[in-house]
Amino acid sequence: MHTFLTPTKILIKAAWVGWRNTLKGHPETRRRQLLKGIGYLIFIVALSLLGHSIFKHLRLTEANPALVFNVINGFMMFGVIIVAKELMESSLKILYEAPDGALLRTLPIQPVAIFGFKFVHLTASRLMSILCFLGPPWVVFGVVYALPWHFYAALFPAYLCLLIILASHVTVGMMVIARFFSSGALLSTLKVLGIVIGVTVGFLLSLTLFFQFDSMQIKQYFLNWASAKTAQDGNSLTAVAWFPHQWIGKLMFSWAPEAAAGARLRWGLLLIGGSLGSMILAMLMALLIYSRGWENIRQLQSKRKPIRTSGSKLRAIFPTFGRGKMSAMMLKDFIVFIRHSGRFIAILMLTLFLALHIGVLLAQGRVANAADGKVIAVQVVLYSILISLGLSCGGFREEAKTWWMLKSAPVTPKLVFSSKFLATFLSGLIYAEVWMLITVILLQIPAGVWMQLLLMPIVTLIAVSALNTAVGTLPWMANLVDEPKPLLRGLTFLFTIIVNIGLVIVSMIAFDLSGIGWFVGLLVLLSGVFAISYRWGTNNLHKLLAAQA
Amino acid sequence: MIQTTNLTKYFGKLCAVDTLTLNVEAGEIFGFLGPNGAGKTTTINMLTGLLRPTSGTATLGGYDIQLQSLEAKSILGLMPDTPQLYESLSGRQFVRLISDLYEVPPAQSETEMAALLEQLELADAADDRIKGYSYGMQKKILLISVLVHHPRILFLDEPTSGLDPRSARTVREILRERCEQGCTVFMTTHILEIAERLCDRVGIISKGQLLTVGTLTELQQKRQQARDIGDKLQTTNEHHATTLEDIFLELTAD
Repeated sequence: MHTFLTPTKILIKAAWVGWRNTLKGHPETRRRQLLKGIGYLIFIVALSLLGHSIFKHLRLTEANPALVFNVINGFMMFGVIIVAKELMESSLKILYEAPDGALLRTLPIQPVAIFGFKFVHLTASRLMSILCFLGPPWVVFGVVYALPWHFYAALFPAYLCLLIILASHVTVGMMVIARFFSSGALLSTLKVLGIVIGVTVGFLLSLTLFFQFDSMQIKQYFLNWASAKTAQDGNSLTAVAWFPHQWIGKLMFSWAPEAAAGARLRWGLLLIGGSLGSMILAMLMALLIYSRGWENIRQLQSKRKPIRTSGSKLRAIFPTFGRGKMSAMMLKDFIVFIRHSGRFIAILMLTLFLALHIGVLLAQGRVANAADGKVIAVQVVLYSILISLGLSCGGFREEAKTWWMLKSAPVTPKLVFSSKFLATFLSGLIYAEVWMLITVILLQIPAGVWMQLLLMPIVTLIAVSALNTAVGTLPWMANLVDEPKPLLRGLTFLFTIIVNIGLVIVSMIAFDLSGIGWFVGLLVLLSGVFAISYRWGTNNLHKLLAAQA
Repeated sequence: MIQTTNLTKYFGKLCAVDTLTLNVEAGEIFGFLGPNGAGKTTTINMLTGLLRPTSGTATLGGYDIQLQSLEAKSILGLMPDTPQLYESLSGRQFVRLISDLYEVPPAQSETEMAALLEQLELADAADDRIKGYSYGMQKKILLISVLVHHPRILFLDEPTSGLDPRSARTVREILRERCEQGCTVFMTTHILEIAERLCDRVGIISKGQLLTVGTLTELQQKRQQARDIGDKLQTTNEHHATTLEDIFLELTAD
């Protein structure tokens, strides 16, 4: 026991000191923590508002306690899914991919001690998540039902127990995967799953924040779901609870006036016992399979990735350009862009949304009118802009590490800007035009608006792509500054998206008005945006490609 | 081919390179030696247009690196100590990118690349992504990309570090071959044995100041002359420095 505890304690202490040092010494880290805090605050506010609205409604209508219990269980399930997703991502990073893994294994300490340290690290790293995603509904529940102060005091230990249980189960799952089923495809799938859950949650919570709560469908949907569940399960308060989040529900509900005597002690003990048992199970599993799993993941990482599409095939995408500086730069940008897994997932998700929208219109069985076509056209152009943002706005940032190569090569700012712009524009245009064609054919859009719908992406994307590429050349956007500026970068990015949306809407309005004057006005505006962006971007690049002072 | 006049670089108050005046002839392999933090990489960065000097000038093949940077860059090839490459590209795609940027005819670049890949035993991994390459493999692909466009001046920062002995020898042979074809090599290394065997001339820099320049024989003679004067004064009979390592250690000692 001593040989396990002592090294674990030393490692935890070192990690704690390291974390404190980063907070003290690096303003950048402090800034990141602040931004993270703001992000958490947004989630807390969204969940609190939704929870308050629902519980107030339940209290006013004197709802059945079983229904209230199911509502709160719904919140808990939502939070548990997010925390489990975060635990899954973090456990992969902390247990298997952290750079200290190799060093720790060369030290004379047992693998289970390493696991113990990593487990504490993992649990501590997700403490804020569990408080943020699961805390607000219970707090507003306590406020609405005017529960005593010790109800709130019990929340933190209850959540700690739940976090330990979740972390144990997730790490056991990850250890089994790493030991017996480790494959690049499976790990990538898990990562994709994590991103998809993250994006969906962000989308749902942003809906919660941006719409009025009382008239909001999400609240009604939630209540309908809980009512249906209550009708189906009968009295959930007396039913057997198998899942740890239900134990918390039972424990916290024991503060309600109508709760049965002794329930608090019973569920409290079950929660503590469950967390200890889960932790012991995780330790035992670590003793057996952690080290081998770590080796498997290491081997996966060190395997060289063969190229699925040969250079010559990709080169065929740019046949008209032949071989030359421009073609080489565009090909490089395009390959770097498409081989980014996160971006690939974003493209997939946006395409899915688009396909769903068209699918819904098709399923309705009616012939689409010009208005439907225009709505989809705006959607398609916005999606193609969003997709190509990584190439235009974030393209130079992607090259920050390899910037020395362009600086020492005989390339001009005009060449660098043009290649990035063309790669962005063509990628966005191909995506947009393919979808526009699918839309007009499948939805049988009237032939009179075909030309408008196919022309709009071309004129809009030229200006927007140039603008976004120019924004990407700003030193803080390209990460070619002494200290990264994430806040400024975020704000610039947000502002750029707003301007992009504005330009798309202006284009749509001009096309909708159908007058030649409006069209000429639009062309003048977009040409101006293009010309200014080109000049601005090349000027910025001129400074970035020059020798550093 | 490479000429610097009073090249100076300050980082705040720290003088990284102090009035460096140097002349490297065409077809010469010049070894730039010095302890860690002496100013070697800063010099290379100034000579390749990555860093602007605080004062002084540098010309490459007659082109001022500040005033005619595009012309100067088109005749140089740079291999930094830490390879930072496009990790999403395969080795072959990366070399093609660089050769296209230097406008090498495709057929020539393919032939040249194939030969270099074979020579450096990287042909089997040429279509794998750079992300999966080891440090040594990354250095090899970087070297191939630098050699494929036949630059007139090669700047190599620690070219053999991280390479296996066979590859290190191949690199030395390739460099010697390129120099016979008229290429000028400006390299830094901490392996003094390589500098001794490969370089036509060496310069030793410490704390930003160029301490000495010359062939190994010239350096030995200089030290011998200095010792002779010292011996006369002190009438001691110590072991005299003969290897480059001895000279280096003596010159760079505090």
